[in-house]
Amino acid sequence: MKICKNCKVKIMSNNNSCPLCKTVLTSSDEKVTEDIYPIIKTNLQKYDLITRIFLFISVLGAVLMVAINYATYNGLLWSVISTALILYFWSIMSYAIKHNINIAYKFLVQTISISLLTILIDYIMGYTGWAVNYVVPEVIITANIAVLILIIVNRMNWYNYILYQIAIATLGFIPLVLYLLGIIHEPWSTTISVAVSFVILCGTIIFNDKDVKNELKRRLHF
Amino acid sequence: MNNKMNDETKWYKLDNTANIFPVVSNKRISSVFRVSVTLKQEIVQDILKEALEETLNYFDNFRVKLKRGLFWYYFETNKKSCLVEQEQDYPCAFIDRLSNNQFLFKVTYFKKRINLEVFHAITDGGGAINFLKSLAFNYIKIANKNELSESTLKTPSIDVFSDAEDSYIKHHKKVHAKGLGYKKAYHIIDKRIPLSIISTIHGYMNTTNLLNLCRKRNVTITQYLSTIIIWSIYKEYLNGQPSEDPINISIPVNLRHLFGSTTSSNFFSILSVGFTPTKEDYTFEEILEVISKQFEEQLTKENLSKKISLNVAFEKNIFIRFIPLFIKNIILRIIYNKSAKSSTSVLSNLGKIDVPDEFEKYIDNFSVLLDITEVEPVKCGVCSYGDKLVCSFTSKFETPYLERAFFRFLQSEGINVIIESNGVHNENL
Repeated sequence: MKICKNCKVKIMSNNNSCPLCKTVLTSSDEKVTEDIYPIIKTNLQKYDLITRIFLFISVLGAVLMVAINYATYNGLLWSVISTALILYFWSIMSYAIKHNINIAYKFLVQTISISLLTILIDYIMGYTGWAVNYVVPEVIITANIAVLILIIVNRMNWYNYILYQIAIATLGFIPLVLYLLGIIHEPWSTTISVAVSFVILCGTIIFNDKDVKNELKRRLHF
Repeated sequence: MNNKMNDETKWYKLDNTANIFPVVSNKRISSVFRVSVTLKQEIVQDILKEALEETLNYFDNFRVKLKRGLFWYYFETNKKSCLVEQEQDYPCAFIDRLSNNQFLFKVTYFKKRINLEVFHAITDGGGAINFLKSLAFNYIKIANKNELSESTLKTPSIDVFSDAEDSYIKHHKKVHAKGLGYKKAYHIIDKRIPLSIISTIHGYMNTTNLLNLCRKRNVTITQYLSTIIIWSIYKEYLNGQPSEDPINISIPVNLRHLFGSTTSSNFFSILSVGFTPTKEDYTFEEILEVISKQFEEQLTKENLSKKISLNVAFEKNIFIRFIPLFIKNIILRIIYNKSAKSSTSVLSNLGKIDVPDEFEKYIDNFSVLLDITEVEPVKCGVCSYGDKLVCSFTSKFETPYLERAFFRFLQSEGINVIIESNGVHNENL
């Protein structure tokens, strides 16, 4: 044990200076004390480098496209689309690839972002309604079927997906609302989307078991 | 997969104070504290893992993962197995709720020491110590099978079978929810250590000597130590001059004994003692008198019961309950940030840790480390075992002025202090 002549305290350390005041220590005995904490390697260089590179490329790309779009403007704001695509890329990076996130939740996020993205593209290209008429209902139908397959494959854990399943099925009724508001003109895709959602909700009610009920109780407790 | 059909997933609501932690926690505010026990033998990973599995059987509220509901967070039984690792990080690092097999605590070891790092949402210092004790006993039992008696080996290593009741709800009285007023406190401003590096300084002293000194001054150990912290800040950072804002120390108090609860969830409340220097050159005795008086005023069952009731009334408020979680999070974060500014530092005294006689000879000491935040960059955890009391400071400051003044003061009062550190202040950063 060593003694700091300024602090007057005893110090258990292999270092030559006092941790409190950095005074050089005089040793009272030669016994080597054990380190009580491991040496921690903080890696300064690798610190999220890949994320930072991607972020920089994203910003660079977006700025470049806006600049080119502005310089050669001919009535089409195509740089908005490219910027939206970059944002979509980040949404995939942060949700779709991440481990340990509920797969049904990923489907939900993808359904919403793809729908919004296509509506935006449609709007920029001079609105013709192809996104809301065809893409959105079909994306929702696909998501519904995907969750259904997920549940069939992983029956034991159905309760894990239930909240997102209900959310996606509920999304299926949005085309109906848009149809009634006169925004959608194409009845077929809307009809199928509503029918699939309705059947899935009915199926959920008919086949629900104790696990599903408990999961809903947990998720919705207030 | 098949056995999952049989054991139903259990779930728990977060207790009243736990609700705040998932909301405010991130890499900068970890809300993770560490309790450690140092044994007299080197730790073997496989034995520790076995001891942990055994211990978890008795603590349902540790075997959980955090899930998001529409209105509140909740815990769900975690069926994965918990990992044990060698210590390789600074203490009290953030526990990502998706990493670590989704467990909300971490068990690590280094040489002879077992560390338990706990996300505050599952339990407080009192609950963590109970878990750590049980873990240590189970470890000792497995590692020293031949030395211990049959009856010791057979008895479960716990005091009370885990109950995860929300004691806040149980002991609250109906009051009308109203906002608690917060006043800004003095904050230490000094150069900070870069990155996620945290300095740790332990000071060991003799419990009896300290206790005698406190008796002579007619105060408790917590009153005495918190006054030394205020005194050190007043001398070192304010240079003994007046300050507009008070130097406030938050003191968590364990409510289990006071209300007769054995819960293994959170059950603590926070006292706030403070001192506003209005003139120059106060003496230590003057401050000690002010602080111990504040302790006596605040540390009554009526006052604490009122505090609990106000918090429960907030949770039970019908408007709050039906706000969707993501909006609730914004509200809670604003409240938390406001309340955090009203405290300069924290002193948490876990008190005397008792162990049964048969385990005493295997255990060297216990210690507790608190997580630090932007507004409270230095904190102190205290606990005692046998005749050894340890004050452990975690800090984000490059120069340990507070720790230095604190331990020098104790030494000048005739208490012999032995210092141990994680060496951050010896490194050239």
